[in-house]
This record gives sequence, C-alpha cells and structure tokens, in this order.
Amino acid sequence: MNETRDERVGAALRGLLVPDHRPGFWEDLERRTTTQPRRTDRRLGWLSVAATVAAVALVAGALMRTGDGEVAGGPDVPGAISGEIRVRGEDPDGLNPWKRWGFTLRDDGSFRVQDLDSPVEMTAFDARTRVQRSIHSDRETGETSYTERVGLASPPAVSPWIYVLDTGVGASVAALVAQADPRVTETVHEGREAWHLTADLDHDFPEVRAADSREIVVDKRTRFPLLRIDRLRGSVVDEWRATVTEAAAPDHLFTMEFPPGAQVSREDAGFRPAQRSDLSRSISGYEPVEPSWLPEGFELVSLVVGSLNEPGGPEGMNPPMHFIAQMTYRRGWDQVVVTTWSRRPSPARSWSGYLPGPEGFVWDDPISAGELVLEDAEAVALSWGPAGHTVGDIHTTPRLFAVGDDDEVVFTVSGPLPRADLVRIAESLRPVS
Amino acid sequence: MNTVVAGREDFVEALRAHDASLRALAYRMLGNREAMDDVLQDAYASAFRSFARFRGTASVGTWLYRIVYNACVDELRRRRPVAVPLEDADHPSYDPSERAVDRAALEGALASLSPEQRAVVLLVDAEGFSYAEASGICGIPAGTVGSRLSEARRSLRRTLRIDEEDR
Repeated sequence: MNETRDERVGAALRGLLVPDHRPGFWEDLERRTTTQPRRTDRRLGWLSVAATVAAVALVAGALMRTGDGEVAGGPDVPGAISGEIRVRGEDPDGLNPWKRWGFTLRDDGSFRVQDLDSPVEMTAFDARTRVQRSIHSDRETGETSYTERVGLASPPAVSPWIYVLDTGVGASVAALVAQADPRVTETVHEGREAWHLTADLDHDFPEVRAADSREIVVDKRTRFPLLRIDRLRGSVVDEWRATVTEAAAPDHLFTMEFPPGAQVSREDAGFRPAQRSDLSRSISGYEPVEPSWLPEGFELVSLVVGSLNEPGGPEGMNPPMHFIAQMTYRRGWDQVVVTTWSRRPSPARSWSGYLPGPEGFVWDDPISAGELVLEDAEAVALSWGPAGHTVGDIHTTPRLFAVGDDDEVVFTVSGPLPRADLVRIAESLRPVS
Repeated sequence: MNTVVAGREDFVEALRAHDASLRALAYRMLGNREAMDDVLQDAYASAFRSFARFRGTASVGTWLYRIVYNACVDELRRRRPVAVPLEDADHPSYDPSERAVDRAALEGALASLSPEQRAVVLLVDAEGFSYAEASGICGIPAGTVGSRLSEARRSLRRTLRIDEEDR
C-alpha cells in the first residue's frame, strides 16, 4: 500500500474552522474527574440489553450442530508457520502497492510480527512466559521506544498487531465449518488445503459500510487466514493476502533482544500463574469454577489470576474486573479461553462502567477488551441461571458472555467453536474441586 | 500493578496539546458542537480514568484519538440515522477574509462523506497519521483505511478543483 498523503486536501481540511468548547466545558470535566465517576446513562447495562438484543448471530441457525470439527493439531500439522502478509485498498488502476508485514506464529500462541516497510516496528509475544516485547519508532519525533510487558494474561491484549494477523477470521470460519455451514467449501489455495467462504456483510450501520461482501480463505491445518477480500458492489475495496510456509520457530524468535543500553519501558500487567488446587485461595468474592466439558482434545495450558482495578481495555472503556481467573485450553492451533471475574465495584471507587453488549464493544475475552464495533449477538439463557449472549460474526472469534444470578460474576467462553459448544461449555461450569 | 504513574497534570497537558485536533475529529464526525462537546466530555473523562494505565506503546495522541473515535462511533450508532445535512449543522462563523465559498463547499463535501471516511481523511491527510496508525485508531485493516481514503479524496479533490495532474 502506498502511504500517500494528499497535502492539498490536508491543508484545506486544516483550514476549516472548528468550534471551541462550550463555556464551562473544562470546568465540567474538572468536576467529573475530581469526584467519583458516574455511570453514563446512555450506556446500557448488560441485563437491560438482554431484552432488546437482535438475534442475528452467524453462528446461530438451523444448521447448528454440536461438533468438534476438524482438529487443528496432530502429527501432520505444523508446529509453526511464517510468512508475509500483504494488504491494500481498492486498486482500480493497478498502481496501489501493497503494505507488507512479516510474521511467525507458533501453535502455543507465541507470535512475532514486523512491519516490512518500517524496520523499527515489531513486536513479539512469548506464550511460555507471557511476555511481550515491542520496538516502536515514533513518527513525530523519530525516537525509538522499547517496551516490555510482563504478567500478561493469555492471549495478549488486542493491538494493531492482532489486527494485522487477523486470526479471529480463522477462528470464526473454523466455527462455521464445525456447524456445517453450507457456505464454506473446501479448496486448495497455493498448494494448501483450505476452506473458502463468501459471505454477505449485512451490517446494521450502512452509513459506514465499506463493503457488502467478504471472501475468505483459511488454512485448514492452522486456521490461519490466507486471503480476505472485501468487495462493495463487486469492486474490491480491501485485499488481505498471506503467504504461509511451515518453518521451525526457535524460542529466541519470540523473546526479541533489545540493543544494549536501550531504555526499556516496563509494565507488569499483574497476572500470575495459579494452580487449580489453590484457585479458591487466589479468588475471593465468588466460588471459582471450571468447565467440566470441553470438545475432545482440548487441554489446559495456562491458568492465571489477576485484577484490573482501573477501567480496562486499550481505551479504558471496560469496567474494573476483580479476581479474574483465566483458563486457556489448546488443541493444536485451536484455543478456548474461559474467564470468570467479579464486577463488584472496588470499595475505593463507585464507578460501575458497563458490560459488553450489543451497544458496547467486542472483546474476545474481557481482558483483551476490543475496539471493534459489535455487530451480531444473540441472547441465551443458561439452565443454571445466568443470562448471557453469544456473539459470532466473520470478523472475530466466537464467544459467549454471561452474568451470574447474583449480577456480580461474569463468565466468558471464547473459541473457534459453534454456538452450541460455547453454550455447552458454559453449562458445564462447576466449582473447582 | 502498573509501573507507569501519571498524574492529573500530565493528563491535562496531553489533553490540551491534542484538544484542537480531537475537537476537529469529533466535530466533523458528529456534525454539531453540542454532540461534539457531549462526546468529548465522556471520552476525556474515560481517558482520565485510564491514563494511569497508559504506558506509551502508542503515542498519547494516538491513544486519545482512539478513545475519541470510538466514542464518536458509539454516539453515531445510538442516534441513527447519522446523516447530518449541512444546513442542520451549526458552523462557527467564518473569517470574511477567507475564501468562504470554498470553505462552505468543502464543508458540504465533507458532510456528504460517511463518518468513517471523514475520520480517515482527517487522520491521514489533515493530521498526518500513517495508515497503520489510522488503522489502529479506527480498528479497521490498513487496506480499508486506503480504500476509504481514496473515496474521500476523490470527492474532496473534486470540490477543491484539484486535478489529478496537479497533485
């Protein structure tokens, strides 16, 4: 992609006048930020949304069935892949160059991504240690910054790098395959066995719709997307392609050394490994639970506990989350994450925020609070009480949110699974023995 | 749990440095001053609450833009339909020494774009963000940034009478 900037358009736009704030704006803000934050009335709470949510989820439907799908693991499945991702927008005259990223992914969730057009933009996440290191060059100052984040939950928080990898697309297609969605067909793409899907994009927000259909090709063995093309009235408006090779991925790829003397900004997200047997001692305010059923082949690879005492998420738009327990299960390249947390306000503050819902923001998991606008959700009532929603679209990993009867404990399940499996996992939650 | 400690003064300094650009983004996306201020109140308050957790994986400007952008999109979703006719939008008075006619035409052309197109052309062309940064702010693929830009520029260039060969 050629990152052109139209200076004349930009200068004209900068010349337009913009009104100043209304009188008292800054004083109002001062009051709001020096007193207890208040709930924003316009933001709907979880339970009040339940009655009005539209049932449009792609993962729902008559064709749904409970099934494990094809297992993305086993002796013939690669343990790591690397390759190049290229994206570009519409290209009617054939002159729009590609924007490129190099990447390596391993089946334990470790990844490394580098902007190939800007050699000082890269990040690496090591799933074994849950440490993420990034090198970023500031466009304005030219300064290079080094960041190390430790104590992360798994998977790491949503970031531009996750958008680059677009792995949620693969998870959503795998879920459609598992429910025998007739739109998904088998194909061979550049020598790799793959699934092919063309779907209409039926957003409920047509004013900002950039495309009306999406074509996706996903690698069967690794769930990694190989192609995604968005079209508007038949014309390509966005094109994403990946070339994939199976390659060794030694540990050092995901640890990324910083140059000697680099000033490193360090952050501890505060999550710590826990043992199942000790979970009740790590959590207070509710009884820790775990799924008693998972599709065949999934094994627990990570159990961490932590709290987010401040509003969470990259935008700080999520409520504080206390006594989070996050269990990550993997089956080869497939990952299921089960999280429980308390939304009981901290004694130190009364801010109650809002829970994810159709009017809120997507998150694959409450810890990786997202920035995408929620499109599809379906209300679900679990037999043991909680009201919840399942969310599934072709953009992101399918997931289920639910709030316990006490209106305090939030449960989430996410993974490349049909809605029925997400519900079954939630139904199977039992106190940790 | 966080190693970065940021205080109110730091936040206010960052906010004041970016407020004019953030106002421009919110005003152009929402179409009127009242909505701009309402959304910015919420967005700034939210940013303040989480500022202590901000640690510079992106520039503070990018971070603030993301918060404001999401708040604007949220507001637009709540108040559908989003089209804001030019005559309904309140406009600041123009400096008579400026080319008011051109400005009004440009305002009209901007208003005819979708809010998302307005956002990317403001971010990239007016504010100088890269496609990747605009992608991160808007939560869309970089390719979509490019396609929205193309469409937006086409309309604005036509209004500004910028011929392709002039560029």
